[in-house]
Amino acid sequence: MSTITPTQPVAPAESEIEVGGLLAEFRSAADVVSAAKLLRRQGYQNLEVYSPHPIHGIDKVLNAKGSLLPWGALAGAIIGLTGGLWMAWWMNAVDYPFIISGKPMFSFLPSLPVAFELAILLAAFAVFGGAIALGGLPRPANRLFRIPAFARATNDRFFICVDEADAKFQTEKTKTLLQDARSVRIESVPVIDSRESKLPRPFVLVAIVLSVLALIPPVLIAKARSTTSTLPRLSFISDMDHQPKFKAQTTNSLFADGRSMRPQMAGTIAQGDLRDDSAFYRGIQEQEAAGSVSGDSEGNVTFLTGTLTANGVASIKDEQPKNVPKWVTEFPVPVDESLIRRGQQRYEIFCATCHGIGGDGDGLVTLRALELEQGTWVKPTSLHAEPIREQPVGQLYNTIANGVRKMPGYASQIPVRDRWAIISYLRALQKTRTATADEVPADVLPNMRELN
Amino acid sequence: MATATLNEFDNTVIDPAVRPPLMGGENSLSSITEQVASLAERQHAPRAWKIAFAISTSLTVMLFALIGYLIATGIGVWGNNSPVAWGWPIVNFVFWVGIGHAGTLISAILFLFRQDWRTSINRFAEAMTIFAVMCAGIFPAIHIGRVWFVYWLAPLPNSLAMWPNFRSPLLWDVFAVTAYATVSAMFWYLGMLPDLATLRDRATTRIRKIAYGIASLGWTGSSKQWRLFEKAYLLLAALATPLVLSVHTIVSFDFAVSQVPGWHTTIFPPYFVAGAVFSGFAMVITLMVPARQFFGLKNLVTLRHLENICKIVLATGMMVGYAYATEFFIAWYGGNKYEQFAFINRALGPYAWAYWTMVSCNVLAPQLFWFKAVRTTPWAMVVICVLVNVGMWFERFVITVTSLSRDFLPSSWGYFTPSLIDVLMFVGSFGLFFTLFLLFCRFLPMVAMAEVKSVLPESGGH
Ligand code: HEC
Repeated sequence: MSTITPTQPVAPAESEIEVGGLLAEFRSAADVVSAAKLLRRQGYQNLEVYSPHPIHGIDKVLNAKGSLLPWGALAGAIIGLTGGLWMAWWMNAVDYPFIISGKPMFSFLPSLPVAFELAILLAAFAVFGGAIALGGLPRPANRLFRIPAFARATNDRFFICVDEADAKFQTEKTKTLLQDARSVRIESVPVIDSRESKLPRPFVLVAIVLSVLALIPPVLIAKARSTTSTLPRLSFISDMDHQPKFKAQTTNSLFADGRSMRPQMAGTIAQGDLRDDSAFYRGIQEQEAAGSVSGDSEGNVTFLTGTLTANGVASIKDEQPKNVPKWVTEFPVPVDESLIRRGQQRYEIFCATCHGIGGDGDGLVTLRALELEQGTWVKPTSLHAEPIREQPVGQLYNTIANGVRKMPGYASQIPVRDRWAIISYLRALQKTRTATADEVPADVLPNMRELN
Repeated sequence: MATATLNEFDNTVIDPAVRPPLMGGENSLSSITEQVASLAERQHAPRAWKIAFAISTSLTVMLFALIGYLIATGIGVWGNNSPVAWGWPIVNFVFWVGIGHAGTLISAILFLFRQDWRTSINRFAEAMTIFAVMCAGIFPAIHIGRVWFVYWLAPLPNSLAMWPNFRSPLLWDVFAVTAYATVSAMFWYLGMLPDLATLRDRATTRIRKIAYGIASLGWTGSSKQWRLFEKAYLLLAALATPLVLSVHTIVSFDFAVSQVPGWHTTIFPPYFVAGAVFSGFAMVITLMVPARQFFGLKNLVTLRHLENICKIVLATGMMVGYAYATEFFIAWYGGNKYEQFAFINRALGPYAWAYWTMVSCNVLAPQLFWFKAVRTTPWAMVVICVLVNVGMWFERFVITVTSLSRDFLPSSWGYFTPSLIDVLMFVGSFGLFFTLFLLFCRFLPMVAMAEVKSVLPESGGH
């Protein structure tokens, strides 16, 4: 019945050993329960029972208190639920508003799944962590493990450990009591030497060094994030930052001339080169576009260089004469009937809504705007007005492409060729009001009748 | 295997007056320890284990090599392409997550219902759950394309000052699967703690002593620890039960919340959960029958256990069959042309072969479980349960692929063909699953010893 711990080479005589308590072994759960009852009746307080499976009723015998675990679970669930809802609200409605089909920024139901999962997860963490921690685990060293017989506590035997700290504890008396309670073997529990229960020195040193080293990366990251640097950023995975392609102005050994930019091949037109045709693309005469220092190609700079008068209105007129571009006066495309017909069709689609089918500024949008007394609506200029009739085709082209004052530009909707087609039709439309009988072809004239 | 039943005792006979014993043979506390622990203590692995392990680790290596190839090359190595952008990776994900449902169900729900027969099989099924969820997790993670940004799925502060979309089922899925994997692992580990301590106390070599010593955290079996253990186990079971139901519900939202005909249905959550339980239990049988044979656990995992599982398979199989029928009914009754087309296309379209494979395996095959002879013949159960798992894979294939390949505009229809990589990766995921499983069988307590002990008649089997 003497205790020989593996670390003590020479076993001292029994009487010399300080006894930390007694460990009694039992054959069955019933025996251990009745022994525990007996000891409790004798007034022992400091008891613990060890068994290979949970014993029912033992908690009552040992007068164990209820555990905090359910409260931990509740707290975890509440934190998870509110935390989940808070994340959905703060992240998607406040910090980074997520606009999805005009739905409200935050709504309860779609935020629920994440909140629910988090509630369960945190509750489970609380229960698991609580069971481990309250059970005094992890605890790799335990004085009971020094008693070889105790190994059967996880197999098929039942044990009671009476600590010598118990007020009633008296080695011999307690021992007899346990023997009477049908214990099959009684061992004395060694007193733990406080030195032994400490971690070995090298462990502590290594742990300190490692934890200091572990601090280095986060510190470096924190420093990098809060300071600036002239070096390019570190990218561990470059994604598409670096693409295997030749960039402009770089060298390239594939070609004889060593350049990666290739000169234009004979007989080809580069993207955008057609735009060099200023008359066709801008309605402005060639030499003007090439030689213009003011850069006024679109007629926009006129406005930009305009000065502001005292009452805040741009005085465009002063600047205009200087910068008026040289408008194209002849159509840069051949005009025939099919072009005019195309122009009519496009005109009725794009212009008639405001300017009216006849070009008098009485389109449906205009009529409606007037009916509603829309103060901001400017009545479109009549296309038959003297100044418009006098305008060179280049200027009309510019009006369609870039707009004028209140009229928006239509460059994005109407392709270049169609703009010229519309102008050709516009010219024909204007002619309907001003043409004299001798301008009308002889074969059409008989079919015409006097309107007014 | 067919002759195995001869020398087994029969506890499947139902006599209302007698409670059938949960276990067969003469069991005592020490015999259970001996029987279960010795399996994890063998010096040399049996030859069959070695062969199986060699095969499954090679498949695992292949899986990871292919993942490396995929990451280096891009997800174009799969058959996924417009209009079927989900393809096999998502099919495999749902398949594996589904299998991962039986474990927690057995451990948690049967525990809450005080079905003591679960103690012999719960450890096994929980291990299966965790390994299946690990296999499942791989697929969506690599499916995102740029794997190194996988952390974007989590709401972490980042330099883009952006947050994930909390109204997206894909985000819900991330939370659900992560929570499920974590809670299942905790549940499994907590339950295993006392048994790990048993292995520690029986260990003879230094390495085993240290390894099991660390793993068992210094468990002593004190009544204080048992009290906490039982409380924690009960609470975790209560938490895991709604969790297990929510996981596949949320997986089904990935489909149901979208607008695609054939996906956008409210029946999906219950239908998916029933399917998951169905496939999970089928997998339990598939693994349990050979394992109990091989490791000589017939007295602990009795025919009655298997028969009970077969009954669950039958019941959930019929729920799944009912869901198939309801889908058609609602498509017709709902009057939505696209929905109707989606279902007619499933049964009669280019994927009719897959649809009817699914129906025969999932609805017809389990009907054999009406016969007690089938329910008590292990090899027959295995055959049926393998068929069920084939069928359940096809179910996910049918749902994912038929709906995507033909949605609204006929001009954007297509036919999906998997690539060789698709097939090999799926095979490789089985390799991973079995590798983990074989390691579990070799080094961990396969049966929950402490729990079985507590239901022995001599411990007053509550
Ligand atoms: C949204 C209505 C609207 C549409 C459509 C519209 N315009 Fe105008 N247009 C106007 C308005 C308004 C004015 C007068 C602008 C002002 O004085 O601020 C105007 C003015 C004009 C002028 C006179 C420009 C000048 O120098 O004074 C011409 C020419 C013209 N439009 C041609 C067209 C052509 C051709 C189309 C079809 C491509 C067209 N508009 C389409 C509203 C429209």
